[in-house]
Amino acid sequence: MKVDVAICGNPNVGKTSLFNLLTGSRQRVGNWPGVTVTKKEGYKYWKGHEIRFVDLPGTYTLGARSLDEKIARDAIVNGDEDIIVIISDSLSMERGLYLLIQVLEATAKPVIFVINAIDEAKRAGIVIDKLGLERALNVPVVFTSALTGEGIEELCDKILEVYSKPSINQRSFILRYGVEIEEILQKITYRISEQRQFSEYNLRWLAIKFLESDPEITKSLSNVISDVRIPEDVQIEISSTRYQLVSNLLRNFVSESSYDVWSVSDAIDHVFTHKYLGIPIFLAILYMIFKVTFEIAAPLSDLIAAFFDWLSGVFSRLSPNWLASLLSDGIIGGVGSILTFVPNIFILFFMMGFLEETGYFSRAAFVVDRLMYYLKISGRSFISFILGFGCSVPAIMSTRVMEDQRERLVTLLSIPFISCSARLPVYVLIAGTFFGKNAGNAIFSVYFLSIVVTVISILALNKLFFKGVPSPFIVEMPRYRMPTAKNLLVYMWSNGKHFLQKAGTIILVSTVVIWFLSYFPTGDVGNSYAARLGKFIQPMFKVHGFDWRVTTSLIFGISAKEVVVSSYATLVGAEEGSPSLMNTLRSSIDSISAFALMVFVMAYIPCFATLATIKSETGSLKYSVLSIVYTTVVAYILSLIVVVVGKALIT
Amino acid sequence: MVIKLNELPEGSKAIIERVELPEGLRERILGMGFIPGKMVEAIKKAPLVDPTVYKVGNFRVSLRSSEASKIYVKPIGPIPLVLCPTNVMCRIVALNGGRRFLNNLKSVGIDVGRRIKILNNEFGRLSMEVDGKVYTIGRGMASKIVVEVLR
Ligand SMILES: Nc1nc2c(ncn2[C@@H]2O[C@H](COP(=O)(O)OP(=O)(O)O)[C@@H](O)[C@H]2O)c(=O)[nH]1
Ligand SMILES: [Mg+2]
Repeated sequence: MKVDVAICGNPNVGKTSLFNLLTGSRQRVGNWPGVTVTKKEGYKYWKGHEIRFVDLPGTYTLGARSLDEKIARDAIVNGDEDIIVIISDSLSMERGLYLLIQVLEATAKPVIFVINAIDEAKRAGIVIDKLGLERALNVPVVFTSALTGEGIEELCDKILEVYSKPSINQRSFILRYGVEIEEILQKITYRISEQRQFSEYNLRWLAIKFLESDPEITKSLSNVISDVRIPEDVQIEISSTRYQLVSNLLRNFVSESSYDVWSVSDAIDHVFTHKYLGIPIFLAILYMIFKVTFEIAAPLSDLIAAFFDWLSGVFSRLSPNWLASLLSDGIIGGVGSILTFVPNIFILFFMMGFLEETGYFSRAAFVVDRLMYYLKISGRSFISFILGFGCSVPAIMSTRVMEDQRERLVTLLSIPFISCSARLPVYVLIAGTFFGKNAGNAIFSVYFLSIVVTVISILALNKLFFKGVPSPFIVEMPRYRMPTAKNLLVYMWSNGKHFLQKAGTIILVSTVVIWFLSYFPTGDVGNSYAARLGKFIQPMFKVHGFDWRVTTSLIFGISAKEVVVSSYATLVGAEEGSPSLMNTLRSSIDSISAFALMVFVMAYIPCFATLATIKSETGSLKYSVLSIVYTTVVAYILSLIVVVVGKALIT
Repeated sequence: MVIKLNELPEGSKAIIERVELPEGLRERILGMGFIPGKMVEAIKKAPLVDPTVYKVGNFRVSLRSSEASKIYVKPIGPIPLVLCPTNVMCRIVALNGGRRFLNNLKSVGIDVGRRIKILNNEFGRLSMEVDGKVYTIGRGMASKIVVEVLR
């Protein structure tokens, strides 16, 4: 038999840890249909049955105010899952019970209440009366610990038991809200019971949600019950009543802890969020991430690059010529250059996992939130932008930790403007050729411009997509905890493997396309389709002063920015880094156009790897296309401004 | 006496009175336990002053002052004078600040234990009555005088 189980709970209660423990490596990470929220599914064989789990986004309420909440609620109310497992943290059961009550109100599906981190409760001397809770709520209760593995088998047994004997879960849970509210609830339920379209819902729940002015439900009910007067503060009344029940339950069935479970966390926070030390510590950690991601990984990346060089050399001896070129230059060269990112990405995710699991991420966001407030985003995006200076791909992937989806999109689409390290070789060549001892200043000003453009982009996208509403920063500060090695490895693997999949699919196809354009029809680059395309679009860049060789190199640069240099070298028939390359460059464009070219390279179309990442992170090609158009328009206009202003200054 | 949550000084506790956030946020905030009648404590301000970590129940949440300013609370225990409404009788419980500042205050008779009442708190100046005499001070100074509301 097959049982579908939804895992639901507040953030940071150990949902993912339990999910990892239950499913091991038998999990799949995807996106919820049509949105950018990650969906994790996995399964476990237990006593001859298959139990499928889905890890829902963490939530405090069953309102549908944020995308995460909406996903969790839809899965609970409308989903196909047979059983809902609500996970609560043993040390903050108040919120867990609050969520449980809401779920019990919303659905008639069987529910199992899991109290996790029971190891910590034991250490703190907290005693929980399991039977008492079960009886009071009419819901089976299981104690678990994702750390010690306690209770996992019991949970699986309980799932099978509840599934095979639904009768034992014939629960009747109704929370009464006081005379005034009950009267209104009755009136509303009566009214909607006459409407057939609501017949499959729990009418009392719909009525409660209507009183809580849930936007979705209000919309669908409003024409049926337009004349019901909603008393003021009914929302607060409802929450208070639920919390009243929660306090009663806690008083009756859960003992106080014997010491302050927050003392260690508070001590650590005293340093990490300290008035003066907080920001330096954050910057130091950021520096460390950057350093490790891009430097420790460098030898590994070099090793991979060397391997592919060797491999491509082997294949280049094949005949016929075009096949040798396709395999060695096209596929092996292209995919190989992408796979050199693998060490960066895996190392990055290992560290991100560590920061997230320990609880430091919330603190980092807290410490720098004020800076990002002006940009109408929260502190969480700061880290992603900094990583963008290394490489846009891991930077975009790191936006996964963001909860607010609007914020994530804005960040993800703005990251390509941060000047990544692959653009540096292009700047170095151009600045070295044209600006002599001012080369450093020229490069610095491009970097500076890249930051300015990023900031403007964040503001503009916010305004455009989200009407400039700031995303509120309501973030829980979890207790600091030591993550388990298993969690870190699963985190690193499940996040990093996306990149491997991409290298095998979309990136492979793109490199073949680029190779095709550069090889055919004659086998000579100067005469290839790409060159023709370059000549075709060159008139658009006439004002900029770019010749067809430059525009063709820019086309090749879409596969990876550093390729601009090597393709230009090929096109003019010079060695990379040789004086003749500089001379040709100098003779073909003037210094104003040269600076415009640097600016263009800084801003234009992100490389294939980045575009592929945008697609897989958003689950939609739409955003990759948007990014292409958006960045190209910005790059075109910016470089045009450089040329116009530059010329005006000179004359 | 009711103040906004973002005005609650670090380390002080208060009872939640009203939550006037827009509906969307209100549901989440209520769900996190910011319920009228419950106790909230301002734990710590961020290095750049905003946001602040608050404790409700056994739970810590960081709120920006833009949100916290829509939650109204009744402080428990002492508060800075500057937050005190006008015409409420208070007693000074502590004076924070350098020795010069303390001596200045003491020389005019403002000291711990005295009864104090704000007459006017506008335009960054604050006029108050201490033992029948009227003084005017700046808001900066007034935030260093800690008082307790007398009922
Ligand atoms: N001591 C202890 N720590 C746990 C337990 N379950 C999870 N954690 C830790 O709590 C933190 C948050 O867990 P996570 O699974 O990411 O929570 P989620 O946000 O609900 O998915 C991680 O650092 C875990 O290692 C547990 O049963 N006992
Ligand atoms: Mg999780």
